[in-house]
Amino acid sequence: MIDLKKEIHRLSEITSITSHEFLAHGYFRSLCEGVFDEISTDDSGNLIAVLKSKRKNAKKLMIDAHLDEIGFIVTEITGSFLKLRSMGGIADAVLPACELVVHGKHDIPAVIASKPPHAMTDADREKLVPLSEMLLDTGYDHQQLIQLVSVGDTVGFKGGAVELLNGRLASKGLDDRLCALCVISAVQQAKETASYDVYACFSVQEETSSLGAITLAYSVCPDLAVAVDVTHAEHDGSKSSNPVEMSAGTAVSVSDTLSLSFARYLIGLANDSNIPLTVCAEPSYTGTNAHYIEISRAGVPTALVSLPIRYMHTPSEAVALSDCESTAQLLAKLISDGSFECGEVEIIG
Amino acid sequence: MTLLEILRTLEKKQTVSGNESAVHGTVKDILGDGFRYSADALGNFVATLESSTGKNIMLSAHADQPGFIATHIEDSGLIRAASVGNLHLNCCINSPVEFENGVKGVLSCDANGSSNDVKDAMLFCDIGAGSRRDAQKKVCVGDRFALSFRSVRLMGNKISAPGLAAKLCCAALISAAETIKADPPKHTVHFVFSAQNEAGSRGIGAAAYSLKPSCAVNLGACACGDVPGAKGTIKLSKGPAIKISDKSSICTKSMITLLNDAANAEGLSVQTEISEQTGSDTAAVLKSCGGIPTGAISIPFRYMRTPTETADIKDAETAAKLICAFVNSY
Amino acid sequence: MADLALLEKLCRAFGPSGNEDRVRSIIINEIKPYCTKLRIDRTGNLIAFKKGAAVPANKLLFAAHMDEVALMVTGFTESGCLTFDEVGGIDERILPAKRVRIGKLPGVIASKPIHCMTKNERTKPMKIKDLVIDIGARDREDAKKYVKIGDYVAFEPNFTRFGTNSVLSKALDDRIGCLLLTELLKKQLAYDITVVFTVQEECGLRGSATAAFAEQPDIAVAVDSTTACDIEGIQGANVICEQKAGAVISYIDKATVYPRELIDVLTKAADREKLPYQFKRLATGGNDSASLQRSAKGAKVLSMSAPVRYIHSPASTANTADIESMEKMLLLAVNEFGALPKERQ
Repeated sequence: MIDLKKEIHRLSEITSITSHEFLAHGYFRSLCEGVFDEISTDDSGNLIAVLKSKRKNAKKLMIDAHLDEIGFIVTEITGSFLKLRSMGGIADAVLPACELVVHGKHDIPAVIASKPPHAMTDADREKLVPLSEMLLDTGYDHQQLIQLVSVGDTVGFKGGAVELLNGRLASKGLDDRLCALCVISAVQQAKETASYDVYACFSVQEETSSLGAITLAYSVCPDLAVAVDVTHAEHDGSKSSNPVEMSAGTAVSVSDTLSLSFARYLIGLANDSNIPLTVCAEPSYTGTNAHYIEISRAGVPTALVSLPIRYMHTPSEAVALSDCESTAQLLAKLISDGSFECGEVEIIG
Repeated sequence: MTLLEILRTLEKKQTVSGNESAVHGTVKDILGDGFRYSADALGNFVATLESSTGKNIMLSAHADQPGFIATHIEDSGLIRAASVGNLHLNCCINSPVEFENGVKGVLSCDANGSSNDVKDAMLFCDIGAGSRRDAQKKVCVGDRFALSFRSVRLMGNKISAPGLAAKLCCAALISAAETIKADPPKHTVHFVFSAQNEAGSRGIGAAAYSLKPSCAVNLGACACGDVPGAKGTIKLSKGPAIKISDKSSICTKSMITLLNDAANAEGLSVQTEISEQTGSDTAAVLKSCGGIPTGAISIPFRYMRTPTETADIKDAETAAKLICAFVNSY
Repeated sequence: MADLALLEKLCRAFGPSGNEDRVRSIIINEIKPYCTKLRIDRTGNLIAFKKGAAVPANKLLFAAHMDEVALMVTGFTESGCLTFDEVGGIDERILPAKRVRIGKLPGVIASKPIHCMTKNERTKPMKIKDLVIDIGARDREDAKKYVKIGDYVAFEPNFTRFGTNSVLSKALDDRIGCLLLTELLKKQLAYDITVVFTVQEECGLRGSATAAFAEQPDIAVAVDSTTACDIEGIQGANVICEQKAGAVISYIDKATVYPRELIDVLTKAADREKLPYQFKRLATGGNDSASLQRSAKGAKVLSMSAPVRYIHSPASTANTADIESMEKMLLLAVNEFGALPKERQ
């Protein structure tokens, strides 16, 4: 069985920034071997792992967790500095003095070169410097830099997970690779009792365009689907009217853009099995792959299961291990149960 | 035909989104026999060079240009319109325009033609009519019009004209098609002149769905960063750019490599594009069906979306050569 | 060659102003075998005296500060996070999402996700009073089991080799100075020197004031670090100083006007020895020389600083060539200043 804490530490050193998800294939493949029956990748960099059910004529369940993490891409090598563009939304607030790693010919530590206060006017100091005006310092001079780094190389937050109190950890890149770990853990738990053929789809480019999920939903053509992504856990400075607390379990969303009956079924499943759960009201766009899978081809009943994390899209996303376990348990229950009616209803044949 | 001659021929047809069919005949005339021609419900036009290997390549450029559609004729004879395509409206007002049927007018906006933030609702076209009835003798609601085509030659091989991005990319694709026809490739190649790109890449998806190509290359435009106030590393006259990513798409890695290898093999000067560009057909092709390996080549333009879009013919010629080199190496 | 292993040990140590014990212990361990006298004064300064080959006409004192800029816990929130304030000058814009240590306890400075920010919030820096540290506690009561109000918070240790010949770490200001003076004490010297590893420099040059009062030097050299802004887009005097151009000597900064005579003596010798050095192009900042100059009867002072980029942030960088040329410069200072005749009073 996957040791989630150990894997979070390993995962923290793995890079898979949007456009370079294939850099994590080795790591995820090794975790999937022995759990799934078939593992494959496609041209876009999606990783698909399939577990066949022991049941005859089993339906297809697609479980999507996106492989890409947020980060940056090198747009220019100017003198002995690099210019960057972000892949996915990153707040300018975290950039000053931020330590990054350039994934060039090898991994290169780097730091955002901030203009010091004395070189700014009072008006400047009231504003954040946007990424487009920032430079990245690698400590190399121009000649060395162009040997090591190319335009288009990715740059990520420095790796390394830190253990906080109460089974909580902080690391870069938990969104959404940690959910991918939960999916693998769930399949491990439900391997012998799976009611569906499970297609674990570790999809690319969710942070930019959901390309991976859109194309995988089309080619897998599932009967039903679950997207597993992260959601905002409450913390000081970020309160919502529909709070999801940390260490309170996993979450299921109710949305007008997703199958209501599937959501209700999952909530029932969690309650019956005493899996701690928060129900999220998410009217309109959920901002996840679920949004697109639901309307693939002729439609797929899709649910959104979420793992609560704090400080999303920063170098230190924080999570509670117990919430990961609850998420994996709910998915395992879904895989085994098989009682959800997901087909078309013919009234007159 | 030289690329410039092809461009001159295409320029004569106005193809504001929805009216791409105006140019279908012209493309067919230039390309001639040897292709199988088809058009679909959206107005995508496809010229196919058949082969028997089973792999097929889709090459595309959009046939539509940005412009306006008349929505309402006022009692005064002034014509209200909606814009199609992301023109910098601030730069387009107080310019001469021309309807598909040749009627000439002037585009202006409320605030007597003087505003820093022109919105669609403020636009109107003045064809000199004294009343609605007067105007209706010449044009009707639903008619399309665009900035009057007047192309200017600058130093070197540079050209400037409104709507040049659309016309030049098509011209480059046609030029490539002529070369490839003369030296037939081993795979089937579809040359797609897509519809309604300016309205939001609405046409190309249907074409990709029908053709289900093994791979695709989209030919489009990207903005130069070499004039004051402009961002990015793309320079005019330094060759076409091979796209890594823009605001809505990330090209397939294998296709980026193939295009770069083809450029190197032929000794072609190319640049690399990572941009904030919107509006390219590339994203729609990438997402089609189960995903299509897609690359993109961009011809650099200055002053995009204004009456003076400026490009270097040589960059377009190199783009055409790159397309041919890619097809031969695939 | 600069002893980077020792620099790493010094940088990784926890040493906010007023809480420099750990740094002091490391230094004591290194210099004990080489000192004639060694004491810790009531403020916490570590004061060493080393006999050289001769007694100089002017009492020589060299100072480097042990403290780093940091934070202090000021309170708790309902949800178990910690409110805090700065210790020493920090540009609060560098705080969001950084990792910290409250002593040994790890924490994260909470940063609002971009998705939850209003358009306005995306362009304005967060103020220190709006930030909190998350240690993973369940609530206020839980947090109080591990942390007290007044506890010190430092940035997470992160020393790493960087680029061709640089290092990246928190606290290069002024562990570089500490390294250099430690190395100086290990050498055979031509003259007697006093070395003070000061405390509380970052919060007002306080340790050096009490040390200078006690030691009453005639000539004092502050060995510190200063901002290098040799990055793209910064021009002219705003560059302040450059990396790979040697020790930075100031004529004037916000806290001290330096006597020319000392500067001339040293630079003349440096030119002779072909050692690189540079002058600080902008009169910003201040260091221990201010207190050393004004204490008791006063002293002639000189400041010699390492050019450090992104100073006062968790990720500052320095070039090893600069550290090595400063090592030589310091030796030169001992020789040249030690040989100077007594100043007429």
